[in-house]
Amino acid sequence: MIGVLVIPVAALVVGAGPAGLAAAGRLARSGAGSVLVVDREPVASGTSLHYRHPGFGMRDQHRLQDGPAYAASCVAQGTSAGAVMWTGTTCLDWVGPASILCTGPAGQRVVEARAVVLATGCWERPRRARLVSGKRPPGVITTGSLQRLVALVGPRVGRRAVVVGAERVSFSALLALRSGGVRPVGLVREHARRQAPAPIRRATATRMGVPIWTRPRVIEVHGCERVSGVTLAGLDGSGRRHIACDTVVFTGDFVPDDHLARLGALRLDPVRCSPVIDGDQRTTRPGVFAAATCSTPPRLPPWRRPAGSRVRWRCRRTFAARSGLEPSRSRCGSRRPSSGCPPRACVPHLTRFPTASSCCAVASSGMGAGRGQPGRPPARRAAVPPTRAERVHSPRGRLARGCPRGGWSRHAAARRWL
Amino acid sequence: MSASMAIAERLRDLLHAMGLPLDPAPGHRSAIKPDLSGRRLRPHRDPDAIARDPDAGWIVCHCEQVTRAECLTACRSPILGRSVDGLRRRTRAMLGRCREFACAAEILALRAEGTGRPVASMWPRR
Repeated sequence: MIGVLVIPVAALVVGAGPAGLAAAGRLARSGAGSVLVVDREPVASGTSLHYRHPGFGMRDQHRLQDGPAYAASCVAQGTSAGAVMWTGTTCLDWVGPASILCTGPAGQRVVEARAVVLATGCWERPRRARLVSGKRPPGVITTGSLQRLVALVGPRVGRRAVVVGAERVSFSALLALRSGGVRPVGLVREHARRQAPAPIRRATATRMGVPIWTRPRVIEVHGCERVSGVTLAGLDGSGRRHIACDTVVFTGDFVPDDHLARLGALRLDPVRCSPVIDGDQRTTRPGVFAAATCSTPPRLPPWRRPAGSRVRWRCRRTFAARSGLEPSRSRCGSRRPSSGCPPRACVPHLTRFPTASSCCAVASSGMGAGRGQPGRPPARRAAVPPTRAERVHSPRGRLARGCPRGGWSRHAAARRWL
Repeated sequence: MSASMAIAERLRDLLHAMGLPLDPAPGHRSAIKPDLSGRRLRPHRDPDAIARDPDAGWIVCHCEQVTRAECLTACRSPILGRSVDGLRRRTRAMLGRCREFACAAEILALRAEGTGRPVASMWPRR
């Protein structure tokens, strides 16, 4: 990278969503040194900016807000702590152990960080990846593009819409459709199990009179110039019926944005394609941490602050459902992990992670050695037995004490690393 | 299509060999097709291109790493780019793996800017 400006920072946070900004704010406040947040969108704050309905901020800020207000308070949290923000800047590739090449309207920069926090978020699984056959007319969208389209073109998005999926975001899509002047015809839920809590369903689908069709699948999309309808069928292909609509919204079923993780040769979860992390959000690359929805599925309803163990349990159940397996109750003993059961499904490689002390050793030798070899992580050392301090701060210990996941550990491990 | 340029060159040579040379039409405007193959440096990777036009460093479609400059060039080009689908095929914007999750609205707005038409008339993909 000859002639490219090199910016040394203590911590680089990739993604200025709520998680990235919270991590940046806490890192900056804890005196870690210079903290830089890089976001590819022209406006920081992530996707919560586009959810124009209440339901945010209860868990971390303890007051109910709508998406834009929550986004603004997240940005204020990050910047007031002294974190520097670069928006409209994309991270292209790794050029060192924890150095990333960024590009933006201002030109290219290499950010040489001591710790990198990946908070790149996720997107919804699109139609192509859900293997829905048929034509490819305009009108097949995801909630993410629906929200932005409604903001852009106003009440001309469509007339009748079918929403596929019944997660929390699907009910948010109903609200977005309503503000876009589209009538939701029905909501298709493939899973037998309800995926969103009753208050959300009542406040949206029931109030708007939208039926929830349980256990059919969208098997085909029709239309040429515009979607004309979809064919629904049972999971065994029986009971086909045609629903006329001009918009199909595929919602939920989130896929982590793993671009940087793949380029950085981080170990990825084979089912969810997200970086494998331990309880301190460490990835398999020394000095690189992953936070929020790029490493776990989207969180629980924000207005119910659950215990950390519950979050873990939900994660576990979600993963099991994604992989087509029911969570094994026999291993856990009870349905809820009140017995302090370690979340093995979340962190399958926990014991194989380098511990903090061995990471430091790798980093101090690797930072210099790796500088000449762009994109090649230093070789991993064998794990040494954990010290007493590490045992005390182990995820299992913290889990047993019932501390909530995320907020604390997200920045604390990065802070200790620095 | 990717092969059309090579087919055209081959046809030109065949016609030339048969004694039917092709002359440039009067009023001809040449158009340069952006190189999407990744063989050459894409604009967002090229510091000189960004220095010439800051839009070349502004990525709008993140999956395919298509910049604002490429989209605007395609919208204003004399061939193709007549619809959003044309723009998609020309630049590969919106054809990445997230399938318009993040970029659909931004690219419609860009097309409105490039063609000088109102944003509200851009959906469904015109």
